[in-house]
Amino acid sequence: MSSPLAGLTMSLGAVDTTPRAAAAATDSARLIQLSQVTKTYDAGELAVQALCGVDLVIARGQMTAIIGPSGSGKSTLMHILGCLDAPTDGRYVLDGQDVSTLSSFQLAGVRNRKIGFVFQTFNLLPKASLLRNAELPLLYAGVGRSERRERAQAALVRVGLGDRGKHRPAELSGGQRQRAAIARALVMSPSLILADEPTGNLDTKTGLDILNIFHEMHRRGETIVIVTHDPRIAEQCERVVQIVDGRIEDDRLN
Amino acid sequence: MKHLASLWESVIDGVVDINSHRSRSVLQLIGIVLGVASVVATFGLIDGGRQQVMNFFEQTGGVRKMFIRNKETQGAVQSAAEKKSKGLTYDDATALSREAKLLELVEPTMERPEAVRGPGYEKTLDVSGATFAYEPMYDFHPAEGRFITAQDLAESAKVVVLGADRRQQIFGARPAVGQTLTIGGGRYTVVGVMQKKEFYFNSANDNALDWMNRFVFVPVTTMLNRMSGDRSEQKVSYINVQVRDLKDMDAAMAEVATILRRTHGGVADVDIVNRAARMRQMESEGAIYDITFMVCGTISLLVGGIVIMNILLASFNERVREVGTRKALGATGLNIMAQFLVESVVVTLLGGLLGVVLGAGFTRVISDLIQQPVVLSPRMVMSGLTFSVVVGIFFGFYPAVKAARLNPIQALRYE
Repeated sequence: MSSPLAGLTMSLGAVDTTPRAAAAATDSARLIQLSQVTKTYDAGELAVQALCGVDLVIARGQMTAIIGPSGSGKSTLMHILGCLDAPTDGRYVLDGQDVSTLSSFQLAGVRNRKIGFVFQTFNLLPKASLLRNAELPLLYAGVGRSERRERAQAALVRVGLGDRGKHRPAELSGGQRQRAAIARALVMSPSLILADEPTGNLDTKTGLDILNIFHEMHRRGETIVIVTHDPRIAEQCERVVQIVDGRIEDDRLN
Repeated sequence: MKHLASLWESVIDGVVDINSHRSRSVLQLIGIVLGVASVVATFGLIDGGRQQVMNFFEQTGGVRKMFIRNKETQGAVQSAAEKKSKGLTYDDATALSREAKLLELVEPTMERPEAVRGPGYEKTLDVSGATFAYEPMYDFHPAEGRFITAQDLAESAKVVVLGADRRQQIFGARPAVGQTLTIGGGRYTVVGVMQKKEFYFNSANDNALDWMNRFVFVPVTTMLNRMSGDRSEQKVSYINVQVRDLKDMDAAMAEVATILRRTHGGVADVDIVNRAARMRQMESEGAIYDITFMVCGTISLLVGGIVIMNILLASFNERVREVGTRKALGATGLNIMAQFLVESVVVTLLGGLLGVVLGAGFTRVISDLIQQPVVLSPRMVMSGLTFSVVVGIFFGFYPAVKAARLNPIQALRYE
């Protein structure tokens, strides 16, 4: 357990971290712990280093925005946080489990149980009903039909779409679609909600509605990470981590 | 266990998915439907033809029948022994039924033209001397009265049994049984009339067994002992035998040849025509057709399979993001593969079912056109379905593996 501590120190050592963030980061309260994570892509002759030695601790129940210009490495960071990609080097402990060395088969299981994704483009199955869309993660968890129905319906109710289960995504507005996607992310009760530009495809007002849902979830104790380039959204988050050139440039609490 | 459950759920998911892409699935169906239909139709016709031949054989003694006839004398030069042998006789038949252990029935038949006279009827007809064994061997039974009995044979009784058409010609609507016919000068009592035998190959007006309806049967002993001709030699025209068990055909043939060689003083002057051997020959000739049609059917199914793969691959790009999303939500490569495979297997299975139905319809139409019965055996249905599923797995495999291997990040980014 020496390296997580080292990671913590380095994280604290980074610019402008207040004691509140540090206090939250006691051992069991740490949901995410990245230690010296690097990611290198082989692009022919050129090896591109997307992340260079990132240390990041995110406490349970925190609502964090990750911001940065395009090409900064924030997408790579999100992929690693979401277990869609494994780091080239360094350690990633998620919910007490070291996931940096897992096989892609095992990572699929981790994504299924611990992470709820919300995408910019919603990524709902167009031909399937909302209920069926919301069921999908339960299906991969091997949950039986009736329990699946029940839990998917409950998740839809949580985002205010309880009466729309039978509708297809095309019959709904963009905001409603994103809410359905949030229901899908919530349905497995994951440890982490990971949203990638969740308001990027929505008008300002609808975007605010969606953000309010995230706030509401945050109040209920969910851990939320929102990747965005929109400073107005970052402002509303409890904590903002800024990535530049594959490093954490700024980490502050609002 | 949990993995299995999730795999099963993705199987179900695959089925649901087909329903949500109906036009795509219908396109995939067509190739398989036509492939299976053509296979079912051709095999239905082949099997129908085969069944037809079998039925015909069944009507005329079955495949266990062997036909024994005198060998045609070749050339003028004959050895002393050959001159001494009389050819097939009634005694040969007696020897066969006494000694040959593998035979069930022995039927010596003598045919000879005789003048037949009845009330208002006079004609020279082929009269057949037969035994009671003719009835079970040819599955040929009397419609009125009785057939020749053992007692008739023992007594060389002066009785006659008529084929259905012959009875009609001689007696018309009047009763026949109990009447008297004059055959070759002697007076014979009609004791029976046979059922009408019918068998149609291709045309409804060409009865292939018409000759049996024109029979005039007398006991063979009566013909040998009472009618004109050389009575001392007891010659018969041919002997039909039926083997007890089909698997003993070759052994029975050897047995018969041995016995007849002995009774003929060491001369092999008979031909034994083995129907089972004929059948085998026909089967092997038929195998060429089987293979030809199998190749055609396989090719059409392959084409159907390629259509499926083609459509799966063509629609692949629009599904890349879907695969990425599913993977992000926790689908493993196996889940994705199962989903894709299930889609192609279910589509091909459905296509196979429709193909069987369509093929059955084809055979129906064709059989009406060429007046030949067709057979739709469960074996054919099963092989049609199995074949289509194999095609589904085979051609669904590449797209399925390709989908399963997609990198989730790239798949999610795919535009």
